[in-house]
Parts: sequence; structure tokens; C-alpha cells
Amino acid sequence: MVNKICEIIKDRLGIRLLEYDVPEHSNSIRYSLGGMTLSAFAILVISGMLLAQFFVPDPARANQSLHYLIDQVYLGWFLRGVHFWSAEVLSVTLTLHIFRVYITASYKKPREANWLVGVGLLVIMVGLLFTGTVLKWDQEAYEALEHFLWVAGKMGVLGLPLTEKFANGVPLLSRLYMAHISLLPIIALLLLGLHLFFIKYHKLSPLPDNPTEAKHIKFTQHMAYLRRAGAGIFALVCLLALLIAPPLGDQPVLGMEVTRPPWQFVWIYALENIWVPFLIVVPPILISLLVAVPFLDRGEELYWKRRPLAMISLAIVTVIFIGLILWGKFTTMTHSM
Amino acid sequence: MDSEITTSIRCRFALICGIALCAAFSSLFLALPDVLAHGGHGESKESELTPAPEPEKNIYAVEGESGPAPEADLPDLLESHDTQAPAEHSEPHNHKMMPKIKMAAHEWVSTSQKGYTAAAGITVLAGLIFGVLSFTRPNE
Repeated sequence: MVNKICEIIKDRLGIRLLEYDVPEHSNSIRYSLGGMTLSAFAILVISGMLLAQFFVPDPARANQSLHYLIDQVYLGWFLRGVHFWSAEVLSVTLTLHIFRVYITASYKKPREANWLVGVGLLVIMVGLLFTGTVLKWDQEAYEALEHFLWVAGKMGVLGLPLTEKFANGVPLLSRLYMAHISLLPIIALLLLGLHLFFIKYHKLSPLPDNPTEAKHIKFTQHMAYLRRAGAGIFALVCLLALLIAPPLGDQPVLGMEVTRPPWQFVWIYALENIWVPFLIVVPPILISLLVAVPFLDRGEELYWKRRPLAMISLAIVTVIFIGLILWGKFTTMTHSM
Repeated sequence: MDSEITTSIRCRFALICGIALCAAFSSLFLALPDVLAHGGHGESKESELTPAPEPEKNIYAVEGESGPAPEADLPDLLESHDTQAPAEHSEPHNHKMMPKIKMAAHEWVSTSQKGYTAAAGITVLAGLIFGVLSFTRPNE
């Protein structure tokens, strides 16, 4: 009976179109990290929509509205926790996904375009993370915005739309709120659609050590695996939100510089400690390097053991990042903006 | 027999993955020196903020407030007994009187928070769903 109902639904909703073959290794954690990132993003979108019901994007009331949400609204603290920890989980799964794609050389021909779309998605996610940090409008948020405005100011005409001068009288916080809930998610969804299209078009990348793997499963089986992974992500996020409250300070004291950024940005805080203009110089260099990856490494070899230069580069970059994050977490700032 | 062994292996794998993920995220905040076992955000805390200098007339100022008073008579940060006051700040700023700023930190959630039982129920339900999906593997 249940099978018959399933068949009826499949016939009417076109689900049979999803029953195409994908490699068997699709159902592994390594090759599902992108799906996990997508699950975390979906939780962010849904929890964000609910949070938007309570947030006031005005500098005088933004922080207050969040304190009200946490202290007075039933499950408000939990909702905010879910949103925060989903972002943390997304940061981790996204990083691991990038590592996996790089190690398995899944950016090589014919998947260069998909790698570039992925870089675009990374930039958008960083933008969402940054704007989300600023919205709470506490000391950490204010200092993040000050650094951002300093960089925007140095960019001349290019940075003008990112400053207060672009729309006099309109608080920048309100404009960042618009970017966070509208502009950046829309661009993210468009890029995501393109990303998934390219995966379908080029098919999932083969195993580097067994490119001619013959075993396949149906895509619906892979969706079932991703459903389970998504449930796991949600359970983990709920557990973290239940136990640990995200940080939230009081209204900022303007003109002060006493906080450190979140761990996702603390590496650049450490670089700023060495030389302040690194704030402007390093992000474009990093993005350029990421964009250049499929064009620099054009050999046909996929297996990581036979790509020593690529692996050494990855190891060096990883060590540098971890070192900067740890140093930024424990270092003393020796300058101010 | 084979299916029992497979199920057992799957259970152990799911458990190991769960523990590894929890350990990874735990290390993120345990590495932070500012994780405090407070009663939670719901409890009232005595504000340690001294009156901040009034903001300039800009879009971030609350209406009606006047400009800044950078030379306001504020307690010296170096004489603060506030353990949460930032100890690492730039030299040039130390010459001025600075307001105390309470640093935001991760805190343990208090069980007295509104809807804590419901949140715990949601969490348990989510975990159960994941557990059931891990054991039964429908359509996989």
C-alpha cells in the first residue's frame, strides 16, 4: 500500500527524474560536506526569518531588541543560538568541503567553472558572516564595522557605496541589515543553483585513486543520505544552542578598540597587528589565488599522493592560517585604527 | 549475521562521528579563555559599564544626545578590579580615561531560561530522528 502511494506521488511530482545514477562514493562524509553546508545554510535561512520578526535594524535599538529576544521571548535565546551555531557549523563544513575539493582535484577540467562559482559562494558566505556579526551592534560589532569602514575608505570610489556617505541620513546598520537578509542571500541562492547545476551537468567527480569506478547508486539514495546528514547537523546545532549561549554584549562604546573578531576573522586581526594595510591587501590576494587554482594546476593527475606541489601548498596555507588564528586569539593588539 | 555485523559497524561509526563532531566544536569554545560557567544570560547582571561618553551627533547617536566628551572624568582602566576588563590594549589609549567595557563571552545556558524544557525536547527529538535515520537508513 505504501509502495503504491509512493509510486503515485513519483509519477505526479516528477521524482523519477531524480532517479539517475551517481557514483557510489557520493554516499560518504567526504563527498557530502557540500550537502551538509547546504543543510546548515537552510537552517540559517529559516532561523533568520524567525529572528527577523524581533530584530530592529536601528542603531539605537538593535542591541536592545536582541537582549529583549533573549530575555523575554519564549525560546528566543534558543532561536538565536540555533542561528549562531548553524553559522559556526557552516564555517567548518564549508572549510572541509573546500579542502576535499582541493585534495581530490575536483576543480580540474571540466569543473573549473564550478570551482569559480564555489569561490563566489565563499565570498558571499564571508559577507553574510560579517554582516551578521555587525547586526548585533555590540562592541565587537561596532569594531568590526569600524575596520570595514576603514578599508572601504581606502578603496576610494569603489568603496563609496559601502560607506555612510553613499546614503546620508540612513544608518549603515540598516543597509547592512538589508544586505544580510536580502541581497546576499539572493546572490547566494543564485550561485547555489548554478553550483548544483554544474554538479549535475558534469556529474560528481570520480575517486582520484579509482577514476573508472563502476558502482553506482540512484541520486534519490544520495538525497536520503543527505537527509540523514542534515538531520545530524540540525541535532548538533540544537545541542550546542541548548548548552552554550552565543556572546552578546551591550551597546558599543564608540571610539574604543578592545575586542577580537570571531575566529573566522581573527587571522586577519593577527595580520593587521603586523601591518595594518594587510587588511586591504590580503583578502584580494587570497581571492585571486583561489580563482587561479584551476588555471595553475592543469595537470591531469587527480590522486593527492601524486600531486606533491599542490599538497605542500595546501599544508603551508593551512599551517599559516591556523597559526594566525591562534596568534590572533592570544596576541596583544599593538596598534589602533 | 552479516546484517547484524553491518548494523553494529554502522552504529559504531555513527557514534564515533557524533563524538568527533562534538569534540571538534567543544574545542572551539574550550580553547577560548573567556568561557565562563555563569548562571546564564537570563539572570540579571550588575552592569559594569561606567557612563560612556556621549556620542557625537551622527546617525549612530540616540536622538537628543549631545556630542562626545572624550575628556570626561572616567575611572582609570588600569585601576580597574574588573576581571573582565580588557588587559590587552594599545599603549596610546592608556593615556586617557577609558570607560569599562564588559566583554561579551560564551556562557552556559541557564535552565531557568524561558522555554528551556521545550528547547531540550526539540533537541532530543532532533537527536532521535537522526538516530532513527542512522539505524533504519530508509531509501539509502
